[in-house]
Formats: sequence, C-alpha cells, structure tokens
Amino acid sequence: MKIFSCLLKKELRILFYSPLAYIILFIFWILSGLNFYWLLTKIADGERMMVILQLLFCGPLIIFSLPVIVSLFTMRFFAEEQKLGTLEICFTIPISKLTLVLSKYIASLIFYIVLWLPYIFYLIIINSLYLSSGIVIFNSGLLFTGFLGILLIGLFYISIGLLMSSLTSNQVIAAVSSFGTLFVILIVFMLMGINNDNQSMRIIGKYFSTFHHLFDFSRGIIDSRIIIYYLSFSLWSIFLTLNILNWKHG
Amino acid sequence: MINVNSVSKSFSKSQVLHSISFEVKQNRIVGLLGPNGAGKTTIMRLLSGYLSPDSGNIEIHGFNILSHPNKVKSKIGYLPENCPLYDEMKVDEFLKYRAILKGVLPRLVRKRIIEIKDQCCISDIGNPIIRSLSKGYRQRVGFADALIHNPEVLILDEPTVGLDPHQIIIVRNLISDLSNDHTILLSTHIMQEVESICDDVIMINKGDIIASDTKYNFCNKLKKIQTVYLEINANINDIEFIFSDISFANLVFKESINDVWSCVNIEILNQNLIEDLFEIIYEKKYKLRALKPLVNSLEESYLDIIKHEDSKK
Repeated sequence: MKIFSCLLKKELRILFYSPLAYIILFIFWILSGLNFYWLLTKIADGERMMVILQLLFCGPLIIFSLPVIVSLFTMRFFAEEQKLGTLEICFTIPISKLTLVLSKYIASLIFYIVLWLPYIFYLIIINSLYLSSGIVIFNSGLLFTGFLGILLIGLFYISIGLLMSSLTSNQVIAAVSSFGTLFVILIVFMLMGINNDNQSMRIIGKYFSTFHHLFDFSRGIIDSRIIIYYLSFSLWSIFLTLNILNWKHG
Repeated sequence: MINVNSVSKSFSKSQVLHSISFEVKQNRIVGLLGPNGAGKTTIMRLLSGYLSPDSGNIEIHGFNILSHPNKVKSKIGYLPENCPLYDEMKVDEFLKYRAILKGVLPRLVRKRIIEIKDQCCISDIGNPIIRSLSKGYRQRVGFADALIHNPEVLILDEPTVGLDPHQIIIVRNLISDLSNDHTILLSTHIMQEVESICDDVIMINKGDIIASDTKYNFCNKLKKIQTVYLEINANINDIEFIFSDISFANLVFKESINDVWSCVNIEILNQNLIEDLFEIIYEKKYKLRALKPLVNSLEESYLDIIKHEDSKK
C-alpha cells in the first residue's frame, strides 16, 4: 500500500505539473459551464427537474467532449515514459507491473473526478432554483445514478486511453488512437441505437451505446448488465495493457 | 555473484544473443566491451530484469532472475544508458520516491539521501528540479538512484557517455570507490575507462562472448610472442654478445642509458621463459635493475580480437 501510494503521488505530481492538465481542466469547465448556461435557460422556460438533470449529465457538449478530454490526459502515461526511457527504471525495481498500471489508472481517475467538481456548484444552484417549488434534488436518487453513470464511463474511457498509450511511445499517436476508438464506439452505437429501420440493430446499438447508458443513468435507471459491461471492459483493457507491457518489455 | 548460463535473446526473428555464458565474481569491476550492436545493452537489460531471456538462466546472488525477480531486483542498482529521470521532479523528491519503491525504511530515507548525495558529489547543487541539471549532474543523480538502497550489484550501462573529462574522472573515481563493497558490471566503448578501473574484461561481438578474462590476460590473449623490457648493467656494445647464445630470445631493441647501463627489448616465445632468461643473465654475472613484460594496450588487444574473430567467420 505504501508503494502504491508513493507511485500514485508521483503520477499526480507529474500530471499536475504539466500545463496540459490545466488546459484540459479549463476547456472542460468552460464546456460544462456553457452546458449549465443552456440548462438555466431551460429552467427559466419552466422545464421539469428530471429533464434538467438528464441534460446536465448527458448534454451534447459533455458527451461529445469526453472522448477528446480523456484521450488528452491519458496519452502521456505510458507513451511519455516509453519515449524518455523512465519505464526502464520502473521495471527494474521490485514492484509489480500491475501496481504500476493501477497507480496510473487511479491517478487518471482522480483527475477525471476533478473535472466534474464544478458540478457541485451547478447542483447547488439548480437546487436553490427548484427549492421554491418544494423540490429538493440533493435527496434524489437521480443524482446518485447520474454520477454512477459518469464514473462508469470514466473507468471505461480511461482504460481505453491507457491501453492506447501503452501501445506507442508517441503521445500524439496515443491520443489520436484513443480518441478514434472512443469516438467510434460513441457515434456508431449511438446511431445504431436510434435506428428505427432495423429492430435488431437498434437493440445491439442501445446495448453498447455510451450515450444511451448515460441517458438511462441520468433518468435513475440502474441496469446491472450495463455496470458489468463497463467494469468487465475496463478490467479487460487493464489486463490487455499489462500484457502489452509484458510483451514489449519482457 | 552473477552467473549467466546459456542465455539467448532475440527480437522479432533477429537473434541478439547466442547462448552466452559468463560469471562475475564478488567485489570485482568487470568491463563489458564490444562494438555497437554487439548486444551489450541487451545483456545489461537482462541482468537488471527489464528483459527476460528466451532461454538459459541468470542467477544473481544465488537467486534466479525469473523465479525470484523481486529478490534479484532488490540486490541490483541499475543505471541505464542515457540515464532516464523524471524531469518534473526535484532531486530530493526523486531520490525519496525511488528509495521508498526500493524498500528503504521510511525512517532511514532522509539520512540515506544525505549520505548518497555526499557520496555522488551532488550535495552542492541543493534540491533543484531535475530538468535544470547539466548532463554530468543528471548522471550523478542516476548514480545516486542506483545506489540509494545500497545494492550489492551495480549494473552500469555506459556510465560516462557524453560527459566532459572532469565529470568522467569524478564518475570513474566514484566507481573505483564503490568497488570495495560492490560487484560492478559496466559496459563502455572507452578503453581507458576499462584500463583504469576494471579488474576483468568480457568482450562480446555479434551476440557471442569472444573473451572473458582478467585485464592482463585479455591484453595478451592473442599475443604469441612475449616482449620483455630489461635494464641491464652492461655497455651498449656488449648487448648483442650477451643475448647471441640465448636460443629462445630475440633482441629487437637496444639503447644506452649511460656507459654502464643499457635498456633492451627482448622477444621470447613463451611467457614462462622469462624466468629462464633472468637466470641465464644472472649466471653471466650481469646485474638487472628492471625486468618488465610489455603488454598490449587494451585498445590494441580489442582491435586484434575483433579482427581475429571476423577473420574466423
């Protein structure tokens, strides 16, 4: 545990040392702020609280920016270390590769959670706006499921980002390949899920579509199959990352 | 201390090491020599546990590197080529991070960092960010990292490459100081480095070990004729007469030091005949004040061996 926390601290130190981390935070907070501004106009139009929460978690600015944002902050984790050769000094000390991969994964997850911090303020504002109507959103299960959906998608996206970063020593290639993979998964399954012509295609699309999953979570629907899908896919990606590192440096 | 037995390694169909075997004894400094692409860095990476051998086994301090990787890694200090470090970290922060990962007890970390910074001559720089360090200081921080857990074995991949002459001397002195209680394997292209600090030499070419011996024997490996330098109590005019009836000796050079002393170079066919030569001169009632076998420089021997190996193939 001491070794893991030491590795984690170092990953966070290096992540927050880079100006890129602050640029990513700035861009995402601007986008989520614009999304929130759009919601305020909806609230002014008298929109229902449930619809507002749905739009808060899966507004287009959020759902389409996440693949880019996650690709950008995960790209350096392995690619940079492979380029600089620092992975060599990591693999020649008595720690396991799994500990190293998990430390990078958790560091990414912490950064991902920091991305969502402004949502606390947005929810306080929304709550105060609805309080006059007697609705208390902080007691709502919708909040829990919404954040659960965000967390599961984060786990999934980060695992793909790290996997792509382990494949190359070029950060740009890592970012482009993970963005490509995540964007294709998002768009293809989303389009399949809203296809009305082919019933079976729509079912498959909805089953794998990140957009549909987040939409369901923000409506308070918890489907255990979806939770297992994201967790198992994330674990599989971590396993694959480990195998790639073993293959390249073993 | 280090036992490498029939180790082979290949990268995507190209075999880099062909069943190599060698041994490094305790508290010796061993130089790993070889031309570019010979497989030196691959050997270093195999010994450090960064790469795994395709076949054969490596034992360090009695532990097999494949079955007890963590035990072996805890006994090794490894300085890779080009000395990769985390540029974003400060020197003390980096050393603390590495000390904890290498199992130094938390209460000893502070003390160990101070000791190791003194030993590696980096106390004077304070605690700057690594990015701002010169190449020489980076190399010494790399050394400090390799030594922070006081390992028994040091594996140094080209430790002086890219350093200025002053920095090279500092690093060489550091390696020599460490040899009292460390077993050191270092790879290098610089012959003077091996000549000045190594006890033994292992030479590798195209993935094969072609020589593994003490530095002295390595220098005489291909030498069939031994040259001996003598200072003899005789006039220069008597020199030819003295050596004319010694069948195994061939006078190749003579020079007068003064009226009664001369110096000569004698070629003999066998190193064991040096004693006979000494006895014959003694019997002829001439005094000797110097008798020294002349060895090849390491560079000459290195080139001779490479040429010899290439001609064999």
